[in-house]
Amino acid sequence: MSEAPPQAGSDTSSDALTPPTFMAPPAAEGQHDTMPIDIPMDTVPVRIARFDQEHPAGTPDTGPIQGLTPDPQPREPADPPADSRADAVESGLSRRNLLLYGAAGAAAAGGAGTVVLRSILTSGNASSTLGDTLGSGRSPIVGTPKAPAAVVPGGALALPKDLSTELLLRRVTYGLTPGLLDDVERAGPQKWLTGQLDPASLKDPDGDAIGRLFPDLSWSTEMVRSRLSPGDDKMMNDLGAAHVGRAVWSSRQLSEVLVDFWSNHLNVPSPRGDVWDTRHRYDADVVRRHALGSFEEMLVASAVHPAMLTFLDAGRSAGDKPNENYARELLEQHTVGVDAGYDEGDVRRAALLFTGWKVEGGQAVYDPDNHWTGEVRVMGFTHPNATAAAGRPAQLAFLQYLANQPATARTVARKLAVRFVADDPPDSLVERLAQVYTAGGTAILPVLRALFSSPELADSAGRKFRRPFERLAATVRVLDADVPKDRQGLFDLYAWLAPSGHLPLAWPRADGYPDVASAWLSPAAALEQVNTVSSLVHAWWPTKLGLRGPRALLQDPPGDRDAVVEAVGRRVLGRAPTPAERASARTLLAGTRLPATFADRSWEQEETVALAATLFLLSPSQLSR
Amino acid sequence: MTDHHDGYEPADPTDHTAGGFEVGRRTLLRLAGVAGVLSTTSLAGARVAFGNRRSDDDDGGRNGDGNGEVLVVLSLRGGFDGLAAVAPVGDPAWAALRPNIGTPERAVKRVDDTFGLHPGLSPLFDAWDDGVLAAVHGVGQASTSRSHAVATAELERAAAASVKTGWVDRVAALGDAGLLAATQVGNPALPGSATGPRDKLAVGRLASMNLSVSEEVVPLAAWQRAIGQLHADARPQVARPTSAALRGVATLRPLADRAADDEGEDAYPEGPLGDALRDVARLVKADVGLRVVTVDADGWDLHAGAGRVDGGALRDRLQVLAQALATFRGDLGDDFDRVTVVTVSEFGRRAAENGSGGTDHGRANAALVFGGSVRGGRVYGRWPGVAGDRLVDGDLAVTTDYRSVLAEVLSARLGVGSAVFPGFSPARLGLVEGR
Repeated sequence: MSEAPPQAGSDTSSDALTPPTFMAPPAAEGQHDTMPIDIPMDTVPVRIARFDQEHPAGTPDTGPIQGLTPDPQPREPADPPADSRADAVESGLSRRNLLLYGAAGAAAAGGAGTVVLRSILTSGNASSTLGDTLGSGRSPIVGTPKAPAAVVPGGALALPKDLSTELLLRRVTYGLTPGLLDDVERAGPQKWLTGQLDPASLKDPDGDAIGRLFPDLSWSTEMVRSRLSPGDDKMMNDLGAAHVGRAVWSSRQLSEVLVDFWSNHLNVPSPRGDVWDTRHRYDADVVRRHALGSFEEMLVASAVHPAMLTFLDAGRSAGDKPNENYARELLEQHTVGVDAGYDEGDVRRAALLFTGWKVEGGQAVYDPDNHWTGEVRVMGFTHPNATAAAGRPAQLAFLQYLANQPATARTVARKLAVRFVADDPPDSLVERLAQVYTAGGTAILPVLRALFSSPELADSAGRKFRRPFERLAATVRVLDADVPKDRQGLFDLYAWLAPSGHLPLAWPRADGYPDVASAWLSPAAALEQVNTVSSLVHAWWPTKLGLRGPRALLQDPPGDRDAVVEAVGRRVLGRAPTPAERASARTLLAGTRLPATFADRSWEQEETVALAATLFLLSPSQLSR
Repeated sequence: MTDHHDGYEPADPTDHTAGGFEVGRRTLLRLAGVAGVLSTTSLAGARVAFGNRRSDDDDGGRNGDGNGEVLVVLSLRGGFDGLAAVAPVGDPAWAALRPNIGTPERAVKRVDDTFGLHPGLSPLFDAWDDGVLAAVHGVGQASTSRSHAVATAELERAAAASVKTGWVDRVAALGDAGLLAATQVGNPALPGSATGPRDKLAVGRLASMNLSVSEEVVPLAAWQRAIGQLHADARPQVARPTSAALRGVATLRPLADRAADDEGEDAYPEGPLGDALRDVARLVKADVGLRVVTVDADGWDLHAGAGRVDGGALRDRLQVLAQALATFRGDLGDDFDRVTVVTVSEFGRRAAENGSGGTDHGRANAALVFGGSVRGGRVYGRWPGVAGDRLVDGDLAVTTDYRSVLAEVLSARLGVGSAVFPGFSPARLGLVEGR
């Protein structure tokens, strides 16, 4: 393999899964190389996890937003330790536990034959996917803790003094709402962001109200299948409408941004006919559940989710003629990236390793008869995979190997940096975040803390552009529309994004929507933007959204054009208009037949307010994030 | 860039069934744009000579110095199965490669000793017999990547990695090209081939090329002046798309109004491809200065469940493709003589089927070339063969660089030279008549 040797202190936890040929970091030498995950494989029974067992306590059926409820056993301390090294050790150990318990669970569970991954799909309760169940024990640490990384920068949240609060809000929310900047300044950005990083701690009445509009999103796959006809797109339309609604109205803004981010990173398109019954469970049980948790656990949960098994065909891949679709995208998009040095042979062997799954009745089923057996080598990973029963432990070990690769650390770090900092983020930042990822055993929170604490973020004003969905959400937020009481308003808002090319969750391929400006230089989308802003400001459409219209924009609208321009600027921009903004508004209004002065509450006054607001909402500052 | 997966139609606010929409957005646009409609109802002729006049508002629709010839690049995204579409039924190794999802000799329209056309292409059989449809087999690119993203990026750059523009941008760079010289239709986002500094238009639906604020309230020119001022110091990523969109509206609004009013039935298949080609035909007929039009047709990445030759996912997609193209030809009428459609795809499929009734990523492919000047009714290229020793890692070998196909159309029809593909010497295929 052409991969660079791992750096000292990085990725130590994966070496248990790797052959001696894979360079173990010196610091890790002799620590847990004997971790027995691939030793007992030949004798591991098929039922490696008891998917039908009770879930950990404290996972109530809270429906589609359960991912936002506290994890019963959070891997991250609620109050992060200031000492980032302690943080790293903590997370690394917990991941280690997962590996150990994976093997133990496999050995203990017993039983043979087909196992149905039923729990997440039938109960609506907390998910219990392959690795999740395996990792549910948090008890005794076995083995020697790995050596802490020499230095783990950025493990604690420490916002730079020169980070503008407005910039922070633009990046971690879907846009400013009236008063938000003042509120956050008053509370303190550090405290506010700490709350955002622990979304379960936040009250979210508006997000809850949206959740109540879509009670069906908590349905199990079995319930969906018993109530709807095959291929019905109801669940996916509801999911998309709720996604847009939460982006606009939820107080857990960062969480919603991350849900969109991970939904694209581990993309399963919605709507799509063949995941009609499972896609909403993927959202709840994979993305929302792990969005602020462990990347490794999210990856493992995605791999064997029926929605992913269906979309990338691993659920239809069997025997010695495997389907390569999932294996290729797993390497290229989900983990190490296309430049990691793997070749076509690696893809084919990874595909062989992932045979054995099928989707029956919307459930993921492991059928050992369809699992290819034989030694597998992919990049630096080897596994004897000697029996059909060894298939799932081998798959799990491979996913864990991939999640902990330095190349995966860079993939995740870079993508987060592209989301929050710049289209072409500094390598120094990416490397630093990758180290935090590795030191934290793939935990996402420490990476986010490091990212938000970075000088690169503070220095990145104007370097990110809103994509159509983000522009639309930002516009509705600044207009301060009431939370909808009618689902129709959200359906209309969601569907409105199709002509812009950015219907949320709908990107058709494995790589997710691009997040760089160069991919979105579309005149068609720009025209949609002009028209959607005009329509939202005027409250023409969507009619059931709780839009207030131009009359409500200003409490006491002035009686002449120039004063309206000033007042509207302060209202929608949050500041006085710049000279260029002021001049452009005057140009626009002078180009109409609207008079320069008007009677209070007249049609002319209302239209002047509306046009000035429309124009300012098309200003460069509103089109950037 | 954006497109919609197989079988998915983007939710259309005018569709009352999609989510119980109450008011069609299009209706709303029309109500808002009453003045615009009134001002253009006098346009009755099929060809509106935008190209030769300078609009009072804007010069965005200027024809430039194009010669009226249009290359339509149809991107079959996901990896087209050229082996199934133009099947080598005469190659003795073929049948055994795909025992379940094959295109067998008995099912095809036999076109020569080696090849037969998949029955899903039957709406185009007349075009083949009329000599306006040809295929080139063994077409591919130098890249050996089997990654959609990498292979697509290289296909659309169509030059060494040091070149930072896409090939369509390089066409738009030649001579005096107007805004519409390089236009994407259907998919709202521009493809990688359009990457580069020259302005281009993207038209999602032609009927939407309008403003929702009535012209009677705010003339388009006022929007253009005001937004021009507002974006004067903005980065080009912000300023360019809006500016191009408003120039596009200035040019296309009359056509948009007519398209919005056109409720007539036609034979285009339902879905994004039929909608896009219907709009392309409108633009071609109006002679607005098109040179290269890019259109996407997604949904070819059939790793599983491709179906049998007489029914299933692949057959359905081929039928939609063929029906859309055949309708496009009829719709264009005489204008078909100045249009050439070329299909491209990031890679082909592996020669052998996989274990889940589909095919994985392969290498060489078949390209379809369709137009009034095509020397059709035959398969071009050198057949590499599908016998075990002829395949490369299980894939069909590349014998014709796809740029040779594009270069020939660009050169023979559009009069565009070699600057489009720097460092590349195209092979001469003789696919199209010169002008």
